[in-house]
Amino acid sequence: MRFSVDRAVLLSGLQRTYGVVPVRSTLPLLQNILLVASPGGIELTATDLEVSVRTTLPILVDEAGALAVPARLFYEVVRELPEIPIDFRTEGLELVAQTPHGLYRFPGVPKEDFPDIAVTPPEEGVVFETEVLSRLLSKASFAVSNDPLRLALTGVLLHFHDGLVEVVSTDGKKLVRIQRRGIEHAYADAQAVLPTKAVNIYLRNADASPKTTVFLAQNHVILDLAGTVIYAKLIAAKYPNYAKVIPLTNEYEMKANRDELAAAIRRVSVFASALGRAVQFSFRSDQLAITAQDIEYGGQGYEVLPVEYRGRDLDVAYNGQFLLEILRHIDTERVVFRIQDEQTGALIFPEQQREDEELLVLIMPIRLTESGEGSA
Amino acid sequence: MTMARIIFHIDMDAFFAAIEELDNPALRGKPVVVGADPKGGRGRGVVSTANYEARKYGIRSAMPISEAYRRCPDAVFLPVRGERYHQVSRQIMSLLKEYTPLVEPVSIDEAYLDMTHSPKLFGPPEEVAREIKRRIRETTGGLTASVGVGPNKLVAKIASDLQKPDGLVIVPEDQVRQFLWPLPIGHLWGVGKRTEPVLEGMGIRTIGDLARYPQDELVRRFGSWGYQLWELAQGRDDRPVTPVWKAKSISQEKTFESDVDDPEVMDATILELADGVTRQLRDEGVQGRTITLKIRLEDFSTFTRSQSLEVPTDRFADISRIALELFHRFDRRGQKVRLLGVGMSNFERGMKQLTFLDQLGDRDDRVDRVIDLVRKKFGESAIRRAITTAGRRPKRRGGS
Repeated sequence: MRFSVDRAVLLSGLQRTYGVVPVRSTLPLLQNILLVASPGGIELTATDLEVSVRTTLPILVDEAGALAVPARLFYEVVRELPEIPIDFRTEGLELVAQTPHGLYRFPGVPKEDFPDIAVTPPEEGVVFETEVLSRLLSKASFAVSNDPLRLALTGVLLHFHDGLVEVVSTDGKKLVRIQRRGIEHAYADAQAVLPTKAVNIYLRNADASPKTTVFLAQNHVILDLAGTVIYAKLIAAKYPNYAKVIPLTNEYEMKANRDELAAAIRRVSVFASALGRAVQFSFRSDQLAITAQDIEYGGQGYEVLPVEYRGRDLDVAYNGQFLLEILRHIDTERVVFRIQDEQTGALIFPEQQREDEELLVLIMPIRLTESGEGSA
Repeated sequence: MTMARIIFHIDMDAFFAAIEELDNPALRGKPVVVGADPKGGRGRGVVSTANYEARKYGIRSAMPISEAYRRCPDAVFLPVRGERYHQVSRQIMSLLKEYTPLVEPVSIDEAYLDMTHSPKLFGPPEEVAREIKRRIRETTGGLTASVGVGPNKLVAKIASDLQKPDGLVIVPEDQVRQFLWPLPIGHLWGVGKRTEPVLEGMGIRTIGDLARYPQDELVRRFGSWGYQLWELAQGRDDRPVTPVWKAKSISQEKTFESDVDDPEVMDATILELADGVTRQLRDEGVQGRTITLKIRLEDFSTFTRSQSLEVPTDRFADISRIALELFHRFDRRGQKVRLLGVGMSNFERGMKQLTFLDQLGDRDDRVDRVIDLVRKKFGESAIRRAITTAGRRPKRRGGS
């Protein structure tokens, strides 16, 4: 193998793949990056066996060949080099990089030992504007669960049905769903549970191409960003029927300025004991009072906001940190809460939905289980 | 609209100093300052409480102790005896809870009571307030409290402060404005040394001045805080009286009949203990955040290791996983184990994060509940997690 490449080109390729390399692994082999040189250019591949990325750098190759080299070593050397061309060649099982500055030798592993990540894509894929798919995934992946016993919920659901594309995540306490119309696909009903890592790697690579083609294979999803392709094993668990937990009949609506609301929650929840949980919302006619108290050490935070509200008086507590996270994902100036009572989840929307898009968040209340109710 | 509330604010008079006088009657009539050691004027701490005698010298809470010493070197300076004050505080709080479950302790010597539904039981507010004051005096052996009664926390708090010590001020709902409006603006919750001059610069000296000020103008100047201030000046305050429960812990432990070295037996025991803790949590309807593992080694040295979760839990899966992790990280330096314990603390009693996992068909939680049910019906040993029987499993016969 022999080729010459500009440092900037190689670095960008490494940045696309390096994130997949596991920090620790029972399989030390995975801490390598595979380089394959062929007449069309060089291919960089990294994998943790669940998620893999392959990126192609179209450069001139003098001699084809392949070798896997330690990812960190390789990445750090390339990062530290100035903007110059680097000459690469293999010497036995070593990769040698030569620059006017010097010589760097990387111990290599034969290509044959590196896991084969090849997955044959099905013929038909769904073509997205990358901007659209990355918006869907970045808006709707914050509610994933980290409970390994609820495997399906640790992933992000990509759901094609009824001419819609839907992305959902939930941990049982909160749920986010974003729907998008107008993306052509032939699926009547197809679901794929994407590992969170694959979603993050995709979002980090979204600048690679303006179009993304999504292929659903048997156990894999393939996200093809032209020169950069992400292969991910799907989470092998059925995603629960989330639609039925969304309380679409909630009748009382509150509208508030998103930034004011978030700022008030941030200040008041300083007092919410540990963790910034349990912030009480007292919904009153055209005003919202927010209270939190520090149970361990005493102290209370309290604010009142002018809002639009005509429903009945309700006192409902929510996890303040969850609320802040949700508000970060709403991009309109005003935010809408639709509520029902102390036990039913609140639906949260942006005041205006984007064209062809519907974003919905559900947050479950925190209930006072012993007395506690009953205060006027 | 909701019915008018009746809120009491109970505020003990010079609490720490009063307890010192109670315990040492010789102090009566002398200026008493509880707080840091003045070290002849060079002390660096602050005053916790000064009795009324000491206040005549201008000594106040939070004042540097050196300044208190300068103002009255002859005062009796005493250290803070937290344990004793807490003991008296507990007596008082439990007495208050006889009148309503809605008691919100604000600090060691101060509490709000929501008495809205209590007049039927105990009579008119004035009578109840007098009775509470009398009973506090009797129970503690002579401490006095000041009580304020109003339709909300704001009014009750201001009222309790007006006739200290041993005061009682009752403000009926229809007299809130007459009561509040003549008071200087500094009485208002949230107006301190810094905002007071700003408001005075706007011509606002009394709460009434503020109430008559255009609300829009305040919002423009101070944002949502201006809105709140104005609401408070109208005498409106919706903050609920929220009772809190003192956190305790739930734990189970097991001493082995003979010291154990087999990791499998220890793992199984931890799972069994975690299972017991889970059940107790569910029985009490609480969730906790901190899981503690207790280990006693054969030489009787005892260790605890804890880990806190972000979200409170009462689930076996969480508790057992963390207890096991803590155990596996513990280095017992080759010693055998005498005792293991698993505990849960850091509760938000009365608070439970609701989920829709049940509706989603969440398996794990449902298993926990089913086990609880079966046990209640058929007794302790009727059902066991397969994994906790590891230590008891008959040894697999080898080869024969």
